[in-house]
Order: sequence, then C-alpha cells, then structure tokens
Amino acid sequence: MSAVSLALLVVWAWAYGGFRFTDLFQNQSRENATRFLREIRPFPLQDQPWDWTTWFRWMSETIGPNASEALGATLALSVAAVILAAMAALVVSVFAARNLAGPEPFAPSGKPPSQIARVLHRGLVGVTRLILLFARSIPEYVWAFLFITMLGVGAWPVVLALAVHNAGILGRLFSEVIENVEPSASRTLRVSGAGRGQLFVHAILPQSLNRWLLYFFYRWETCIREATVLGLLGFISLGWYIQDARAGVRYDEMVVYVGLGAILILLADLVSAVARRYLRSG
Amino acid sequence: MRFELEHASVRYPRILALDNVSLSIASGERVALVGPSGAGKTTLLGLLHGGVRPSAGTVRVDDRVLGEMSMKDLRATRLAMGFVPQSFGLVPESRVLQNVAAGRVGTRNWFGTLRDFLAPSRDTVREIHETLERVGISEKLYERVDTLSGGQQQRVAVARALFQKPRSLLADEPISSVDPSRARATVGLLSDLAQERELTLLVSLHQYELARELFPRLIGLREGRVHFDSPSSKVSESMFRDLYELDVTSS
Repeated sequence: MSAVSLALLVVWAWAYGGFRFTDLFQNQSRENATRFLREIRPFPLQDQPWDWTTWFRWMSETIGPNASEALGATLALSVAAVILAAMAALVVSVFAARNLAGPEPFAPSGKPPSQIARVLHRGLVGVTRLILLFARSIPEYVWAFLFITMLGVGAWPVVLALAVHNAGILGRLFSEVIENVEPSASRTLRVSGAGRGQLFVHAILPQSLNRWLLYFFYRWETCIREATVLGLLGFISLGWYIQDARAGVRYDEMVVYVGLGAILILLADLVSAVARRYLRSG
Repeated sequence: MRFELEHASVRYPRILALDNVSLSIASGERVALVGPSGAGKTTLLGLLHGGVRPSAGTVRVDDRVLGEMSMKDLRATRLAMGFVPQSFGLVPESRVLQNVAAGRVGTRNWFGTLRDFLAPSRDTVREIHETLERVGISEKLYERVDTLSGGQQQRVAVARALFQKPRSLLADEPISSVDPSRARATVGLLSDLAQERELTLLVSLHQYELARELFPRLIGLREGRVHFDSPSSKVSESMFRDLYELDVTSS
C-alpha cells in the first residue's frame, strides 16, 4: 500500500514538475553549456595554446589577497558561529533532557513531587524543546535575511544566523546524548547526596563529552559549507566572490572560487574525521 | 545508623518485589542479606537508601521517615550512607581519583564540586590515596576507570563509598563478579572496615559459608518476603538450602 503511494508520488512529481529530459538538450541549453565550457578556461588563455606560466600568473592574480581573505573569513565565521552555537546548546540542552530536568532526577526524592512540580518540570522541558525546534526549523539563509534586516550587512548577521540555527540542532542532539547516558553512575551519585548540578559535573559531563564533540565537529563542517553559501547575501566570504564573478560573467574566476570552497570543505572534512576518530577511540 | 522497615511493600508494574516486610537493623550491626535472584534483595537495599520508594509502609533511617524528608535532609542522610551497587555505578570515562572524589559530593558547594572534578586539592588527593590504599589499589589513582578490571572497579566503588565517611555501608552483591578467593577478600574487607569504623553493614550475597562466618546476623529473603531473620549461628545449612530450593518444591 505504502509502496504503491510512494510510486505514485514519484510519477506525479516527474509529471507535474514539468521537467522533461528533452529540455536538457534543447538548442538554447546546448549553446549556453558550450559557451560556459569555453569561458571557464582562464581568460588570458582563451583561444590560445595552453601555457602553464600564464596560467600560474592568472591563478595567483585571481586568488590574490582578496580571495585568501575571503577564505580566511569563511573559516573564521564558521568557527565563531559553531562555538557560539555549542555554548548555547550546552546550556539549553540541560533543560531539554527529560532525565536530568525531570522532577526526580535518577532517584526518588524524599516526598513524592507534587502534581504542580511535575507539570512545571514537564512544561520546562517542553518549552525548551519548542524553542530549539523553532531555532532549527528556520534555515540559516532565512535567519541571515532577518538579521541583515536588523543589523545591516556584515559579519554579525551571518555569524548569528549560523549560530541560532545550529544551536537548535546541537541543543536537541546534546539533550539526546544526556538522555542516553548510562544511568547507573548518576543514580549512585544521586543516592550519595548529589544535587542536579553535581550530577551534571561528575557523571553527565564526562559520560557525554565525546559524543557532544562528535556532533560539534559534524556541525562545524556544515557551518563552513553554509558560511560559503551565505556570502551570496553580500558578506565578504567565498560566496560573495562566486556571486560577484557570476554577475560579471567571469566564469573562469567563478570556477576557481567554487573550487576553493570545495577544498576548504574537504579540509574541514578531514580535520573533523580525524578528530572524530580520535574521540571514538578515546 | 539505624534502619527500620515497617510493613514495607514495593510493587513494580508486573511484580510484587517486596511484600509487607518489617525489620530493623541497629547501629553497628553487620547483616548479610541472602536469597535467590529476584527475591527482593536489591529492592530492599534500594528502600534503605531511598533509591526505591515504597508502594506501602514506611522506611525509617535514624528514626526519621525517608519519605517525609525535605530534599536537604534526604541528601544529608544519603551522604551518611555508603552504597556499592552491583553495577558499581562508576563513571567509566573518569579517572579513579575523580570517581572517588565524587563520593563526597554531598558536602561540596559549586566551587568545591568543580574543583574535585578538575583539580582536587592536595589534601583531597592525599586522603583519596589513603582510602585507595585501604582497599589495595592506590597505584591506580590516575587510571581511567574503564581500563581497570572488574575486581579493581569494585574496589574503586568501595573506596568511593568509604570516602563519603559514611555511618553505614550497603553493598549489593559485591562478589557476584569475582572468583571465590577474591570474593572472600572483598567481603572480609567490608566486614573489617565496618568493625573498624563502627559502620552499620548490609551486604547481599549468595554464599552460605561466607555469610555465616563474617556476619552475625542473616536475613533470608524469598519472593519478596522475609523467610528467616536470625543470628547466623542459628541458620543451618538446610534452612539456607530451603531458601534457594523452595521454588522447585512449591511449584
């Protein structure tokens, strides 16, 4: 039944969307593609035999101080944003974890909690989760628009946009890590007289840290990608250069910037993979 | 530390874990809790440290009802009880030092808690070292707990309980995961410590010989009820065997 409706959905999407394979091969598209392929060849070398010296000079001029600055800005942006996001997420996740934020964390208290206390605790967890949901359900791009409207074009709207969206994601993931912590240590400390905060320091924190960091690096990767894209909104990051080159019909330069972005993301991937492997083993 | 159960029952969704149990344990007594798996030993210990709330009846510690205490009083009472759960309840990712330091968390404020976790004071470290010496693994002070063997982890758990400076020691099947000779040493250690420091000692175990030899009083549990509660000299081997074999004869 569900397989049939899924198949119908696929058929509908292709039929309704109006994308026909023949459109891909129309004369217009073919002309555009051919032109594009001709023009991504470095400008000084267009209609010329290939010459590495010329290519190297052109490349260093294109990348130049500006693009490397943009590369640095993209990196700095992503780091600032993910750190802000993680700090916010860490604080908020504690209130979103049902076990730690419940009326009786890990072991009964003396008197059973009142009905009001139960409702309040459940409400706290619910509201916190709702805020996290809201933060992450609005895409970075849209957050950036909102912040640019308020703050004007600059680094801050982009940092905040990335931070808010990722705080929503990390907050949820962090709280899930807390909820999945093996409870026996927390329970034992609780019946030895530990308070909530002390449970957090002595049991939750050491048992969750690795998994938190795994998620942190995963989101950092995404932040680099997004920081590149958000440059399209006018902030000087790689995305801005891509946009600028495209607007000036300098496809040769555009391809270089896209490539730089890909390399940056690849490097971040590598760093993140190494860090995560180390964390898994430790 | 005195413990008293009065008509205490614990009902879990599908099972009556303890059925109308009344008993009292005087300060400084050493009691072995025996009985087959599922008899309610863990639940009974849970009632005493307040990890389990009775469905009916009352639990008193030092003549005060646990279920009526404020959080502050309950924490103070719990601080005075050292508890060694069957799973040890250690933080595997932390060092032995941090795990033992956590025993005294009930006496610490925010700053003290962070300090114990990150960089305990020299006095604290020295005291923890002494405690570990007493249980025989002082050389493991800076090891991560998850690198230790089961027997070593168990002694860390005992050290943490001792570091609390408790007035009672509750241990749930402390020898279920060690070989017979080590078992004897572990229970012997608990018994010695209890006598040395005048602690009320409650240990659940399955070994008749060991229980009789090291504990003046035995409480036999079966299917959530007290089957016998008497001086160990009066508990015969057949009474003990009955405790474990009743299941077969009754069904």
